[in-house]
This record gives sequence, structure tokens and C-alpha cells, in this order.
Amino acid sequence: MDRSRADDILREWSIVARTARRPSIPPRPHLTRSALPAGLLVGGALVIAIMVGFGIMSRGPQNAASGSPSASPTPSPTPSAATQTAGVVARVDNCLLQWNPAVDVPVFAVSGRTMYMVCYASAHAPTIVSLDLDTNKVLSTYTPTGVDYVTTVAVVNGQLWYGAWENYPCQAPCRRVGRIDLASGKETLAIEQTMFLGYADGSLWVAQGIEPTMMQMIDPETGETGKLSTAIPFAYTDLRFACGSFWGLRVDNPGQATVSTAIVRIDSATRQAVATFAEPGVIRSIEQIGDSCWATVRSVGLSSQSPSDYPDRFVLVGQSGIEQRSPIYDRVALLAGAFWLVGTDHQDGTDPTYATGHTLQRIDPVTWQPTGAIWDLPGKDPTIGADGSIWADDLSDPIIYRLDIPVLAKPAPPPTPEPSSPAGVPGKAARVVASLNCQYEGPYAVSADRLAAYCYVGEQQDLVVVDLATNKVVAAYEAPMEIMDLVVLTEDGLWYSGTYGSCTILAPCPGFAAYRIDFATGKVTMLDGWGLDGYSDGVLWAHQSGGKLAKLDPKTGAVKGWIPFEYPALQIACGSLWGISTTDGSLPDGTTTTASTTLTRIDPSSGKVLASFTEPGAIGAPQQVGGECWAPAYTYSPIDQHTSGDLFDHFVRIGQSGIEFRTDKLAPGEAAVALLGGTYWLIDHFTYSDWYLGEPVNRTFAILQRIDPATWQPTGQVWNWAGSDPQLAAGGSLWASNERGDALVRLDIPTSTP
Amino acid sequence: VFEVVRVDPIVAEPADLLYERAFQAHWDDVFRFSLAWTNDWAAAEDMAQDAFLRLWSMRLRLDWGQPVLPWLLVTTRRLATDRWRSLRKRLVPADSETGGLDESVRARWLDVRAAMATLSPLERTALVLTAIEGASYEEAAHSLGTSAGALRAAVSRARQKLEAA
Repeated sequence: MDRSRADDILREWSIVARTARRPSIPPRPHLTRSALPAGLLVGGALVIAIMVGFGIMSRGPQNAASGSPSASPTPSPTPSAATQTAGVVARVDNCLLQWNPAVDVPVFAVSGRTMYMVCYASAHAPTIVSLDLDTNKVLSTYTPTGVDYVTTVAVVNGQLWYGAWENYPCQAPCRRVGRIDLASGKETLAIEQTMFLGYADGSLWVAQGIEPTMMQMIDPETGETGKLSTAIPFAYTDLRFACGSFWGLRVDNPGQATVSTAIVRIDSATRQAVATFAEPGVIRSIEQIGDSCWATVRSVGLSSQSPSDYPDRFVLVGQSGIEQRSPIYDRVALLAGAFWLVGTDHQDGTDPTYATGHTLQRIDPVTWQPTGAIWDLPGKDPTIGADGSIWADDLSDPIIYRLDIPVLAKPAPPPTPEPSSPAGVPGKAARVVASLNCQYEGPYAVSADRLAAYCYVGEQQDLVVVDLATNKVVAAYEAPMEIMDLVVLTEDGLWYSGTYGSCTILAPCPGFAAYRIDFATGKVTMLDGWGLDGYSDGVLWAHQSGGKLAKLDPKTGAVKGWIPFEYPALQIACGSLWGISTTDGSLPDGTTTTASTTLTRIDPSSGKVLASFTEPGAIGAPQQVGGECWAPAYTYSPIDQHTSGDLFDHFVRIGQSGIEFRTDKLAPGEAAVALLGGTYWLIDHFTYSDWYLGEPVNRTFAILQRIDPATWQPTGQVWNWAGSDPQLAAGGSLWASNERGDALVRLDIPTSTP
Repeated sequence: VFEVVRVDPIVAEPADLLYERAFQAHWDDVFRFSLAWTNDWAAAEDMAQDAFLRLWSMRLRLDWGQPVLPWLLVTTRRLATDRWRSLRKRLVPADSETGGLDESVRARWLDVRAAMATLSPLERTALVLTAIEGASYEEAAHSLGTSAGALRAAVSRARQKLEAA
């Protein structure tokens, strides 16, 4: 039997396609080093390292107050400051806080005027001591049985809850949750093989497994695992509650120069994992100071200029990542709401975890310099800041001291750093005014007062609805595996379409459907087999198969009529339906000619073609600007050598029956134009060479400026943004992904005309 | 010294190793799927890389006892549905996306690319999956997020267009 032409083409396609060379190594997120070939540079996933690199080794003028850290010599206690000996105002005997290698920070809880501290009179012998903070008297001691280390304590409704490592031998994961009645001192509940995470937001939280990926609420009366649970994007080894959020932590490559901590922030109210990021070093304490959340980080080999191979620093933990890094110090602490520099006997490069803290001095977070008196702590190591005091371990005997070192109960929070960009980057740095902490790749829908975006953290995918007036997330819905279109966002609901079912590696997607979420009830209505195309004038446009479009009632989803539609793509804009066909200019002989876009305006009531016209090149999504219809466009010519990026270089005004007006080419070189929120923009890019651990890295800044439609010249403020190009306009602002690609942020770049 | 002995630990191969195996086993498949969808060599390479980066980010959470290729193909298609990015890619001059090919392969690719350009991405990929990769209509429909009936129609249209090309 003769082969058909189709078979010949397919056979040739197969032969050619199989000549593809698989890369020698699997792709992984890694640094953008300028020495690497461009093909190995991998977008957003790299940028964590870039941000870190910039934070650590940024060049140019340094401004400590802005938080731009430098590789300056490590600050040390100011030699000119007066040294004072810390006085002891109270002591707790038979108590050593730090004899607990299972956790890196002391374990204590304050309930009313009572503090509960986990003490060790000897190894593997924890007790929980309750202490009256007014009289400094020990009230009671509680001794959990059969445990080596207590890792968490909380007091809830007169019950003392603790989490502990069990005595060896034990059944993995060797963790237990215990409950002690404070009145009787008796242990009233023990939940084996369970990790106690803490008491937060009115609930008790636990986890199960060696490296759990869930956190679960338990009933405080019965200890039964509750219905509410939260999936964590990665297997964590430590989970804490601080600054109003849960923080899941996992230390990778411990003890190596590449040690880092993977961090996931879980919103305590919504119990959603809202951000994941990583930071070099080991995250130690996390504490709220003023309105900000700070942590201490211990790293290895951050700078050869440090006298220590284990330097510490403070980091400002933002909504979606580390926003500010202090200079590096030998050893630091966050105690009683203040920043402290700890002077130690550690001068030989050994791990300062085991060093003795000899002195304590405040650090001014504005200048990042030590300030005030140096407090001498002979034989003591500062460990706890609570009730306005510093508490320290005696390093010879199991004794805890409450010291008279003055701390400010409510220290002034460090100033919010002004956004800054490296010297040489043109324009003013755009400020983030709100952040949607998930990876955004579209689609989105916007109304006058709300934005709905489809985004995900790790495997979890959500439809997130933001109130544009308050920048608050007002709703989040677990989404199907794949959403193709968010179509219309109204006061009472949201329409979208996509595949449904468990569309994961475990099972195929059963099909696709359109959905409507009712905001009032949360009820989701599904129209099986439908895909959505758009919304206009009270009609929801949808399709089931090719060849025709259906008009659906946006309230009910009922079919109200059909029109024929035979075009590859549909745009609904400027009060019209537009069928869009594009050709890429390829000719059968492999050469190219001019590409073109054909716009066909269709009568929405009858489906009849009202006008059809072809424009060279590409035309982007039309938008109504005032009473006119505009779109960005790109006039393609084979001699152009654009190879990447946004290529729109001019704007066109679309009339009822043709292109009415074309601007000149407005974007020089690799720059592009965009139409966002009814305003015209020129977008260029600036590559800034930075250094990370002694190696060159590149950061790309989007440079944005409005285009005045009266003159078609760039006008007004030039902005720069170290993230993606703007992806949408909503609420009068531009929105873009951040540099790490793990958040969609609202910038302070307005789209309204000044 | 703190020591915990894990009793009956779950023995599993490191996710990194499983990821590398998946890469070795399926990169070619993902590339050809991407190539069918985009009809663009460079874009297909980018898309395959993006898909594996997505797999890398999920490697700790996947059930590696299940086939990974269906997930990769669905992910690849999702990456491909950015219509404007796709449009821009199509507007790249033809010779810019084949710079890494041998001259003999490049000429053949330009020929077959031109012929396949008459097909929509869905038609092209449906045809490649069923006629070259040996997928059933149901399997191909799953990867392309459509029904088996629509997939069959797309294959039919694609063949007719190629015959006329």
C-alpha cells in the first residue's frame, strides 16, 4: 500500500525529532553565573541564590540603615563602651536550659505571670519548672516520664502540654505528646509517635511521621486528631509558631559550607502554606520585634573576612522571603525584643554553639553597630529573653539566673527599609505594597475591587481572591489541577474553566469543565465538558467543541443561544467579539515571509462577520482605553533578529472595520511596549552584575516608564523592578512576580494618569 | 551525644536519584511532545527543561511508584498554553531557533516544520502522539486535556491538512 503524504511527513518528523540531544545533566535550579552558557540559565528558580548573593556581597556604597549588608569587618563589642557586670536578681537551681541538643533554642512558655521552663538537672532528665515572674519563686516542677528531651511546651486551659523525644529504645519517630494537669501534677494524656508543634491561634497542633508533611489540629480534651489539617510543601524537621505564623524548617546539608534552611510560612488563620523560600545557614530563633519578624541565622563560610567560620546575622523575614540581612557578626541573639551581640570565648573558628557567652551588648538595628554598655556575664550564657529580662545559664552548675540587664519592653522597631536598587540601575526602585505569596503563572480575573489569581505553592494550587482596597486575601479555594481560564469575577461569584479530577501523577485528568464558585456559600457549580472563553455584556461565552460558541447565563450557566465560530482564538474586548488567526510566515521551503494577524469582528447576537482585516505581524490583547480600542502590536519582518522577550514595539488603534492608526515603533532594541490598565508602557531591561560567594552573577531589572499617548514619548518617573515584567494591572497598580518567582506582588507603580 | 535510632525506617531511594532516572527515561518523550506542540526546536527545549524543573520542585512529594510520564506531559502542555509567549515564539525568525542543529538535520527540520505549521498545536500533538508515539486516543486525550472524541477529530483534521500541504 502506498504511503500517504501525511505518513511521509510524520516519518520525517519522527526521524528529525529523534536527533535531539538530551542535555548531559538534568535541569535543576541553580545560580545564574555569567560564565555559563545562556542555555543553562534558568529563570525564577535561580533567583533565591541571586538575592542571597546580593544580600551578602553587594557592591558599591553601603548603607547600613537600609539593611544592605556589606562584607565589612565583623562588628565586635565597641571597645570604648563601658563594661558593667550583670547583676543576678533571681536564680533557679537544678536547672540548665541548654542541655538539650534536640532543639537549638531554649524551651519555655509564659502564661499570665507564670513562666514554664524546661530544665535539665542532668542529661536525659528534663523537668518543667513553673516560676512566678513577680516573686521569682519556683511554684512547681513537673517531670514527664520516659522522655529524653522536651522540645515544646504550652499551657492551655489549666493543662500543661509538652512534646518530647522518648527514651531509647523507642518506636520511630520516637516522639510523644503529653498533657499534665497543673493542679494535680499528674500526667493525664500521652499520645505516642506524635510530634507536638505548639499552641497557636487557639488550637493545639501536632504532626506524625519522622519528617512530616502535614500539621493537624487535635482535640485538647481527648487528644484525638481533628479534621483540620494543613499540607506542608516539604518534609520539615522543625515547626515553630512565631510572628503570627507557623514556620516549617528543614536544614539541608548540615555542617557543610552549603548548609541552608528551607522555610515554609503557614498562615495561622487560613492554614495555607503561603510562602516557601530558602536561606543559607541555619535559622535559629524567630521573634517578632515591633511589627517585623526577625530571625537569627548561623552560617558557615559566609565571608572569609569573618574571624569565625560560623558567623551569625539577623534577617528580616518578610511575607515571602528574606527582605533584609544584617551584617555578619560572630554571634548574635534575639532576646526580649531586642538585637544583641554576644561576645564569646570562641575565637578559633569552632562552632559557637558550644562557645561560652561572656558579654552582651545591644545592637542598634538602624546602624547595625553595637551600642550602649557591654554587659559582662562571667560564667553565664544568655539564653532567654522574657518578661523584660535576660536569663542566662550558669556554665559550671545547673543554675538559671535572671539578670538585671535592662531591656526595653517595647523597643522601637527598626525602620522599614526604603526600597533601593544597586547603583547604576536606572530609575526608582518600585516598592512592594502587597504580596500574594504563591507562584503565579496566570490566568487571572479582575473586577473593580477584587483580583482573582490562579497560583500555587509547591503542589498545592489555589484560586486566591484579593480585596484590592485592603490588599487582604478574602478567599482561597483549592483548585483543580489545571485552570485554563479565569473568565469573570463578580460581586457574588467567579467563573473559571479547566481540567477536573485528580489530575496528578496518580491518575489522569478525567476531562474538563467550567465552574462557578458562589462566594456567599462557597458552593461550586460544575458544567461538565465546557470550556469558557470570556464574558461581555451579561453573557458568558463558552464552548464544548469547535465550530460554535454558546452564550451562557452567568448566574445559572444555562445555555441561552449559540453562534458559529471557526477561528483559532477568541478575544472579547472593546465591546466586540474578535476571531483571531495568526500566521507565522513560514513557507514550505523553510524560508519565511511576513507574519500576520487577522482580526475578524463578529456580531455577538448572530455570529455574522461584520469586518475582517489583516495586519502584518502580531497584535496583542485589545483593551478599551477611554472610548477607543487599542492593542500592542509587533510588525514582524524576517530581517528582524529578535529572539526572545516581549516583542511588541508599537500600538495600534482598532476601529470597527480596520486598523485606524499605528504609532511609530516606540521600543528600541530589545525593549517592548505594553498596554496595562489602560496605560501605555515602555519596558526595557537592565542587567546588573553582582557577586555571590566570589562568583559573578547577573540580576535583571525591568525598567518601566509610561508613554504619553499625546506625544507617544516616554514620560514621567522611570521605575525599576528586580522581578518579572509586569503581568497585570489591578486596583490602579501594576503587578509582577518577584525575583524568586514565588510571589505575585502589587507594586507602587500606578496605572492611573497623573 | 544525642542519638535516635529509627525503628523500621522507610527505605526509599533518594528523590534526587529518582528524578535523574526520570530525566534519563523521559526527556526525549517530553521534548518530542513539546516539539509537536510548539513546532519550534528551541522553544521545545526550553519547555522540556521547564517541565523537568517543575518535576524537580515536586520530587520530594511524588509517589514515585507511579508512572511519571503522564504527569510530565500534562505539565508540559500547561506550560505551553501561554498563548502570547507561544505567539512570540512563533514570530522568531526560522533560523534563530535551530542554531544548535547540524546543518543536515536543520534543513530537514525546516522542511518538516513548514509542513507541520499548517496544523494547530492540538492537531499536531494529537497526530504525533497517536501516529508516532503509539499512544491510544484515550492516553493522548489525557495528555492534551481533551476528550477521546475530540482527539480523534483532531487527528483526522491533521491528516487531511497534511495530505493537502
